[in-house]
Amino acid sequence: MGQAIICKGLKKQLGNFTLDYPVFTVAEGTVHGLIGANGSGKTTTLKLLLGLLRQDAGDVSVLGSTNIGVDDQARNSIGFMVDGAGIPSMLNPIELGRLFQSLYTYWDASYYQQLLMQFHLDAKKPYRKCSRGMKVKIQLALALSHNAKLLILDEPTSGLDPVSRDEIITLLSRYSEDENHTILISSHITSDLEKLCDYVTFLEDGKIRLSSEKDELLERYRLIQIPSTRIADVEPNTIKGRRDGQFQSEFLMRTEEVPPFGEAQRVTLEQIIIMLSVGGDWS
Amino acid sequence: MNTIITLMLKDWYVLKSKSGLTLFLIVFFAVFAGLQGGFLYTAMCTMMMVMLTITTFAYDQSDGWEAYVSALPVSRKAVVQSKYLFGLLTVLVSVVLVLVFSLVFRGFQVDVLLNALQLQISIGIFFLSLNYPLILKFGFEKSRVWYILVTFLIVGAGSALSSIASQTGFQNNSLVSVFMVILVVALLVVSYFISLGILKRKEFIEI
Repeated sequence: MGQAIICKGLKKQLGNFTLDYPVFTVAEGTVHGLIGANGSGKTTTLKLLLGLLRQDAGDVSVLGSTNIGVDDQARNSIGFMVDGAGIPSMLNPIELGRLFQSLYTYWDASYYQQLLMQFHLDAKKPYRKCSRGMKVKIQLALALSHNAKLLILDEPTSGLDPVSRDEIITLLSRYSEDENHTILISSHITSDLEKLCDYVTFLEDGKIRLSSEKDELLERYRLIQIPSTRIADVEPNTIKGRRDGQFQSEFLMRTEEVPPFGEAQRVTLEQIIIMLSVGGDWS
Repeated sequence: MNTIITLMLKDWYVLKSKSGLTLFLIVFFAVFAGLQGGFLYTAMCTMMMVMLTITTFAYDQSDGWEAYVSALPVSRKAVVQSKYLFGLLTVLVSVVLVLVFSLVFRGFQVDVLLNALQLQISIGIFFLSLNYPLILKFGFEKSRVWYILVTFLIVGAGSALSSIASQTGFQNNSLVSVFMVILVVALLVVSYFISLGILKRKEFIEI
């Protein structure tokens, strides 16, 4: 399996914020989730990969192109949705379809029409008059209708109702079934990423804290509830994250280090992030 | 070329839904330019037309299209070219409008038509050449201040030259007209390359 995205020694300074990745890769044919708090570097990463920002140092390769900012051919194979980079608000989906048909080499007009119908979008309604959910669906329809090999999506499900979110996740799942299709997606909604992703990367203050196969990560940790009276019996080095209550504490621990007296539960991505982010041990 | 036409089509789509009043004013000024001639109506017709194209920059920036189009398989050169071509096209439309109404109301008068033509082309190109790089560099809002400053400097320099010319007894109007056209065309070329440089280097930090 090749790599759709390779970043090596990537550095970008924006005011007081520094993005610094020794290595970051996204394998072809996988769905890779970027998770992190606001300001952790998710959108900056995606902008660097789309050529909207230039790195101060390091190498970025996207679909084999090392200078995506001037490589129109490589950008032909990328579908994207990035916070703030928007489509003209005065245009309706029909007009947008006409424009994008001329801009993309492999535009699939019939699939675009099919998506508009599937999403129940009014093809004559200007984008500015659409709801948040409809806007996301129009952007996704545009991103998916030119046979893109790589989708770069910034918070596509944010602010959507559960039904719309599920619809979008299902659509992306279907897209990812093709082994030539790769998705890099950032989101706050970890339950969506848990459904969709093969790999996840946690970002904090512009640094990669953790990057792993999702299933392996979920197997790596367990959530343990320990009564307050037994806390002293737990080896401190084995505690990766903790949340203390009045009568018991919750510890995040590696599966193989769970003490016999603890009640171990499977963890979700969200629990892992919360426990590690609040003074946890990322190692 | 197909890409440039597509981007111009986008600008037309943006304008057609929001420019009813401006289009009405443009026709209004063109009608009066045709009826009475004179600097004010002729110049206003062209200025309003170029203002329309400047409005597309404002929409591009508030919608985030400037960033979006930079991630599409479209070169930044094509984006700049489409803007300048669209601007020149609107200047041409304003010229045609004034010519048509002049012919309708006052018949064919070579001097009047040539004066209007020279005035509109000079003002239109001057206005767009000055505005486009400023908007690309500073954004639509901040560029206003820079526009006023730069216009003041250029008009000031023009007045000074004109004053020197009159003091030295230089009164060759046709030569001045030719000089004006050459000057604005040179300004257009310089403006295009400056805009191209700005957009090629642009990073979309706050989008």
